[in-house]
Amino acid sequence: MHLQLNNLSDRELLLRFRKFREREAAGALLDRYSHLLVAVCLPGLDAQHPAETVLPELTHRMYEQLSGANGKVNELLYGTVQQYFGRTRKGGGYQPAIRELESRVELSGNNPIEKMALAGKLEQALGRLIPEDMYLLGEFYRNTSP
Amino acid sequence: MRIFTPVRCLNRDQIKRYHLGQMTDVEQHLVEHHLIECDLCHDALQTLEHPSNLQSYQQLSTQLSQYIQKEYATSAAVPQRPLKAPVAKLQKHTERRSFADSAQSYFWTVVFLAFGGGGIYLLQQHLKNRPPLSTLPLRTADALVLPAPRGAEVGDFQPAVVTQPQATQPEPILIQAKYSTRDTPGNATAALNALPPADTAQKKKPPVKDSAVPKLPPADTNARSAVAQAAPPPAETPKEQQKEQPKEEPKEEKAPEKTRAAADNENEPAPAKSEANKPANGDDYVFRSAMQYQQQGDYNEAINQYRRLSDRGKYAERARYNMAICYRDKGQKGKARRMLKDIANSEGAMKSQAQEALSAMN
Repeated sequence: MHLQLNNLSDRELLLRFRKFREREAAGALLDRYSHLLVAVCLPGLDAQHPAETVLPELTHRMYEQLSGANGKVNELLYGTVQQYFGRTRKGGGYQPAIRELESRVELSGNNPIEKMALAGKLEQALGRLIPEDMYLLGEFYRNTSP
Repeated sequence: MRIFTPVRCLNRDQIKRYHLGQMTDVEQHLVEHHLIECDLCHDALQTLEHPSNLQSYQQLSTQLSQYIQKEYATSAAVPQRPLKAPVAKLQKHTERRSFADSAQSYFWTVVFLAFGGGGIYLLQQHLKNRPPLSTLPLRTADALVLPAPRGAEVGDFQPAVVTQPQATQPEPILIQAKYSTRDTPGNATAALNALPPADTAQKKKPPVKDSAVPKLPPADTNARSAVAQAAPPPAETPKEQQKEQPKEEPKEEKAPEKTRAAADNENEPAPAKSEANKPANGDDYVFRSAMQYQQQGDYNEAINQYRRLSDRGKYAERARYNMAICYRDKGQKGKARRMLKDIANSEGAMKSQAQEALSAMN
């Protein structure tokens, strides 16, 4: 059962946890991001914040927040850790327009018509960039692509 | 385009290989592509850039993974806590539902019983308030008399025939023939030949005593028997009754008073009982009502009823005998004797009783 859950995506695991309150789905999702949680928390661990206390508590917080989460788990986990250690997020997150665009890209899925429409819009947006940014994006995406 | 290819966060193996530089160019490019938008992976890689954190990272990540698998994965003891609430809710829901079902069944049972009880009560009230049974024989007698052909066959068709139509049915012709035979005894044989064979069958019945019999002289036995055969009692229409009654009543009133003995009233119920097995008709009803009046002491009404029967039908002789008894009990003994003498002189079935009554009165 656990192996089958590991093959599911984050969205499907979240859906199963929200719909059927599957504790195993939440466990699979937390296990998937546990090493990142440890890596992010390592700089904040000290005598006042031992790993035996911080990591289970953050795991429990994440479990509580997963029931109402509908976005990305990595952002939720990062925000929870930053909030736990009293830090502020870098740059205040993405702009609403970028979030909307990301959600549209995710929702397009395997729909070729929607994908072609989004590609057309992106090309039009890229066409309005200044030459320096256009050169940078072209070098990053096109030259390194296989 | 790569934008439609979902890129997950780095797993343990990818992080290790990324630090060791064991990734391919494409894989490294995809990871760096992901690092642009994922702060979690970016901070994690930054933290693991320091070699001092690698050991604690591996140890803590392993422990945390084990903790999560133990706490959330397949543990059987832990899930009991969150499952308690749904189970309790389910039990409460089923209890409420069963209670609602039972309450609903009780309600419908009570409603059914209430309606059943109400229906039985209404039926009892209806039966209590129903008209008395004493009035029913009147209706049944009328109902039996109403159909014209049936009454004509039986021969006792008398009271309620006023509603019978005469023009549409062939019976009035036949009835008229009988009527003529009775009024004119000389033509009785001719009328008798004209009667259908059904009437001849009626002659053999016991109520052969017709009102025409006393009119005939006692010596004329041939004519009397012919009239008795020719004029069976049933063949009378309402018109006949209306015509005959005014004719006969004065005769009875004008009859001279003679001293005669009266018979006992105990003999009276016997003929009534003998007639009880026959179908009820107008004559039966009149005779019984007259007897009731007589037993109750209302002699005037009883005499009136008997007078209606004294000139026709099978009760004619009995009616005259009972009328004489009524006169005797009323105190008019002369009238009673005269009527009893007439009965004793006749050849009827009441001859012996009339003689006994006459001897008792003397």
